[in-house]
Amino acid sequence: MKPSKDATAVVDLVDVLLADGAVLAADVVITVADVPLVGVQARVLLAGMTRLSEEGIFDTWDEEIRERGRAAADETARDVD
Amino acid sequence: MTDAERDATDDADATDPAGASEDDAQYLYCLVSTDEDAVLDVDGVEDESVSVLATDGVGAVTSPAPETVESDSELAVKRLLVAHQRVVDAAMDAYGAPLPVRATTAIDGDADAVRAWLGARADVVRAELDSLAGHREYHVTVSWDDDAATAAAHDADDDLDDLRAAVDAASPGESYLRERQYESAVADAVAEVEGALAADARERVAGVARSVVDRESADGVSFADGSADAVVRLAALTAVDDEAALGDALDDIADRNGVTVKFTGPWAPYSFAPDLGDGGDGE
Amino acid sequence: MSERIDVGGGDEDPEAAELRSGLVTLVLSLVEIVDEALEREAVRRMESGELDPEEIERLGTHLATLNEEITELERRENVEDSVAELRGQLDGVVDDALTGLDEDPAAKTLEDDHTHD
Repeated sequence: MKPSKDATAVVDLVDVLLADGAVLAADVVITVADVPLVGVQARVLLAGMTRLSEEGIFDTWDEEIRERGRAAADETARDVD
Repeated sequence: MTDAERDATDDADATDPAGASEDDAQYLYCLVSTDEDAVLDVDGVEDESVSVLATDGVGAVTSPAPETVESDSELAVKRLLVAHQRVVDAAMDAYGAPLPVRATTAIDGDADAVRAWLGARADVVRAELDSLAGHREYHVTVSWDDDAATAAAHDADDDLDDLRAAVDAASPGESYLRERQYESAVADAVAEVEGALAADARERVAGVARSVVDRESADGVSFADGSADAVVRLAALTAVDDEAALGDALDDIADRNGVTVKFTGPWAPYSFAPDLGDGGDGE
Repeated sequence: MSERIDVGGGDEDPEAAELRSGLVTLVLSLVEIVDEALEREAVRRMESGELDPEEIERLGTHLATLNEEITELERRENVEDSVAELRGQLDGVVDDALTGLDEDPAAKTLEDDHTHD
């Protein structure tokens, strides 16, 4: 079989992106986001990411998520801990 | 989780080196083998421009770090990860196997700070890049349909047929307990045949790849791609030339009843990057 | 202790309803865990031969009824999903403790990093 590298394959990379890669010494590093512990609910959302073409999909998502309101985001933030 | 914020003066311009302030930071994607500076034709985090800063035969792929990334927003996290992976891929296409740095890493300071950091460990980085040259990371995820796995468990363990028969034969109260008994026994038996399948997959992949490791989930709880029921998840460091042979080895596994094999790549060698935290002794 | 904890009504007070739901989730998750432990013990005793057929039948019937009641209660309180999720997270915590996944110093370095001033 041949390896695939499509959008669904990139979802497969998410854990690796968050967990793997060279780690630098703390004295030079700033984390720009406290990302590593992505909670269960957030993972379900990340897994739903089936198409990763760039600007278009994200613009649509921006609108949808804003419409659903901040309440959902607050709940997720609580669960992420 | 809190936002990671940095102070910035109002007129700080991240794209203007002359306006660099003490609060600059450079987002770091990966390290590559190169002798000269360059600009990569790819959008970085927050659509910033991506530069390659070379020193002593190695280069750092960077872009001006954003002042803030809301870590509570999944969308912001997704954008960052997508940008990170996109840039690492572009660097791989341009320079061959890079040494990926973990996402969300930024180096405090300006381009000179990055060069200084890199220069101090150039020998180790160069050696790692030489070692990774010509190799890519591939991901193998093996899943087994529940019914097929259960059937295989029954084939492997004679007692299971009897236990299942006992469920139907018993009176209602006892039947409930017999069912619990069967469920427990079949769960153990399925775990065993799945373990054998996992070991078989690892062995076949190891026969082709240079190095094989199990992929961990970032938070130790669940996987983003929803492969909660996967029998095994592997990352294989493989010579690009051996990609076809790896695919062939996986065909044999996929032929088994109810087994699905997901094969992705080629990726940059994220899972095989050394720890540069202690000055570069690495792994 | 004869105190009662009033977690408030349902529809009039959304915050109280959520608090109640969280408590019910916690309680029923614990009940499920205890119920499963009881079932395992019952199976063990049945397998060991120390129970006579009548006892097995009675024990099984009681446990089946208990199981039904738990399921029905979860359905009525609408906490089936939250109980499953909580138990999943608890399993994850236990797994971590058993396999020492918490021990990766590199991961801690990145998570604990604070803004450099």
